[in-house]
Amino acid sequence: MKYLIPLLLPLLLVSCTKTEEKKYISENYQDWEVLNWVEMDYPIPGHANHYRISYINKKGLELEILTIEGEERCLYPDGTVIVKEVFSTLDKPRAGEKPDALTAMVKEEGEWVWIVKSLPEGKEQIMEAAFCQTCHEGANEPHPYGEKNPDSIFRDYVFFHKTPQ
Amino acid sequence: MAERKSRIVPIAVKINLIIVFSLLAGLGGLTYYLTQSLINSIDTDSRESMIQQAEILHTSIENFMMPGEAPLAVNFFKDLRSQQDNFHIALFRSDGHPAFSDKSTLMKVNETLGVNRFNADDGRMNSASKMPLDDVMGKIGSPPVPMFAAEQVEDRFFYQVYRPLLNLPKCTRCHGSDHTIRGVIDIRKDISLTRQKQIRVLWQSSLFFVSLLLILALILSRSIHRMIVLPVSLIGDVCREVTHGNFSNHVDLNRRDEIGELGDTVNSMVNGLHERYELSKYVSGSTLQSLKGSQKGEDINLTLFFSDIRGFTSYTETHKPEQVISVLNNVLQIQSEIIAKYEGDIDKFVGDEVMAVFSGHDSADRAVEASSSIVRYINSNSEMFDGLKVGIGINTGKVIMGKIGSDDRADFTVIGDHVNTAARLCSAAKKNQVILSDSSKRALVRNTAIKGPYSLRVKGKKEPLRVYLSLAGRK
Repeated sequence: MKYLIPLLLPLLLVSCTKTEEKKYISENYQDWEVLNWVEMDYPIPGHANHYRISYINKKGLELEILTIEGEERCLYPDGTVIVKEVFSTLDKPRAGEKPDALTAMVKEEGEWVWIVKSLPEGKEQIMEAAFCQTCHEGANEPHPYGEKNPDSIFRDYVFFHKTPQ
Repeated sequence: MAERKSRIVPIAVKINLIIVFSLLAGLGGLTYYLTQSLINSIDTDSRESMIQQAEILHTSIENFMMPGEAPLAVNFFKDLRSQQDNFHIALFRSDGHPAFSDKSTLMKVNETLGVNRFNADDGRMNSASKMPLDDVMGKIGSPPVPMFAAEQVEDRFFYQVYRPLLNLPKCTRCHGSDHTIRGVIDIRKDISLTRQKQIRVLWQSSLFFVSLLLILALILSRSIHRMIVLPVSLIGDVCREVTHGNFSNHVDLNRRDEIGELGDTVNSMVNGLHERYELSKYVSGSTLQSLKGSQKGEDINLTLFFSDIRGFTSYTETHKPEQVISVLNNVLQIQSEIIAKYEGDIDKFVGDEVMAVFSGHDSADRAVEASSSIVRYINSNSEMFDGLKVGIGINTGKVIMGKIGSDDRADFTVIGDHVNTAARLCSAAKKNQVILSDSSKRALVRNTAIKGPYSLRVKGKKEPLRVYLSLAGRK
């Protein structure tokens, strides 16, 4: 018995400890910089007919623009979080209107993690990277959004940058 | 209730069962694992190959469509579809209609571009029927990703890959940005032939396994039969013979293993048993009995028998040793046989003297009857004993029976005054005389011809003994 308690105690502690689900999207993301300098009130594949507002955290503003073998490449640091509010229609949301859902790109260990948070449930879901990434690959080549990336610069899968504008 | 005899399960059957089960579990598991691995490997290769083909097609479509070369894509699909019978490729729009089957896409593109850039060319493609809209979306899931499916239609098997064709940003210029999925690439491969090959491989593996199992089981069972079952049977036969008193058989295995050692041990045991059996002829029954039970001394009521050859000392002086031994053995042999016949027990031979004991309620009767029989036989076969005669003394009484001697050499015998008295009566008996003590006469339970009493003075006794002579030997 005297050996049993020390053996069982750690198991008991472990079983009583709830593992917190990792939260990628901060509650106060709206305090971050708004990313879209073009109003996103037009439909796009993937987000369809929904008005969108994007925010980027402070870490994401440390975007590096590197020149590798003569080519310019943008690189977001690990810890970057870009949150996109997705509203119910293409109409500009009224003051205080809550979005239907949030989508987010989070840079971890050099890779983007794609997340969808449905509201008001608030549950975050990591998306199959292939689907999100396939569309966002378009950001690295000329595309029809914003400044259109005419020089085909590697934009690190992000269509709208805070800089350059 | 009669005891139910348990049925013997032959060791060969048990060993064969163990072998078959072991082989089934071992080889069966291995064969199953290898076959499954092979089939899984083929399946995985086929699946990966088809997904790769879908990716190649996707890239091809992208490359055809970006410069607006839809006719090239149509011809490309046509070519692919005509090349292989078991390979079906189709491209569906997101509304379920086969791509290029009507003008709607071209019209939409012209509308999006705001110019009449593309002219509809009727009949470009294709004979594929419309896929229900729910099917298109259902196949690729949400979010849309390449999906693999294995389907069976009647007796044919298909692998199918649905690769979503997304409305990428670069596509939106022509196709608009109000939808996410442009369509689905549908690749279907008839793998019935491959499946048949797999089933054939399964059957071949099974057949090979069963054949291997039978061959190995046969080889192993024969080997084990030869190595274990036969020697054990042989050892059993030898032991069975020993129980019937035959010590002549031996285990001849000529083996240098545990079974060989067992055979040697059994041979040693048989030799030992044989020696003990032979020895039992020279050891009194009471001694043998004592070895089975307690060897402590105990008082017991017995009739004691002593016989002695009259004039034997002078006989030995005048005859050759071999003749002396031969005649002596004849006398002792016949006495032994007759004493045994009357359930007496030879206690010892001392020179020409025989000491025997009779136990039981009629011990005195049997001792007198044995004595009379001995006297009669020796008289009737005088030449066999070279004219020698015996004198016999019989006494009945309580004696001490026990192991007497050292740890290394001992007799299980009787001692006491009654023993001495019997010996004295024997010494006093003349040729062919059987002298009974008074206690023996009183112990007789049957009518026995005796005469007396006589008064006999013997050495060691102050008072003369009351004795009788048996008349039975004179008949």
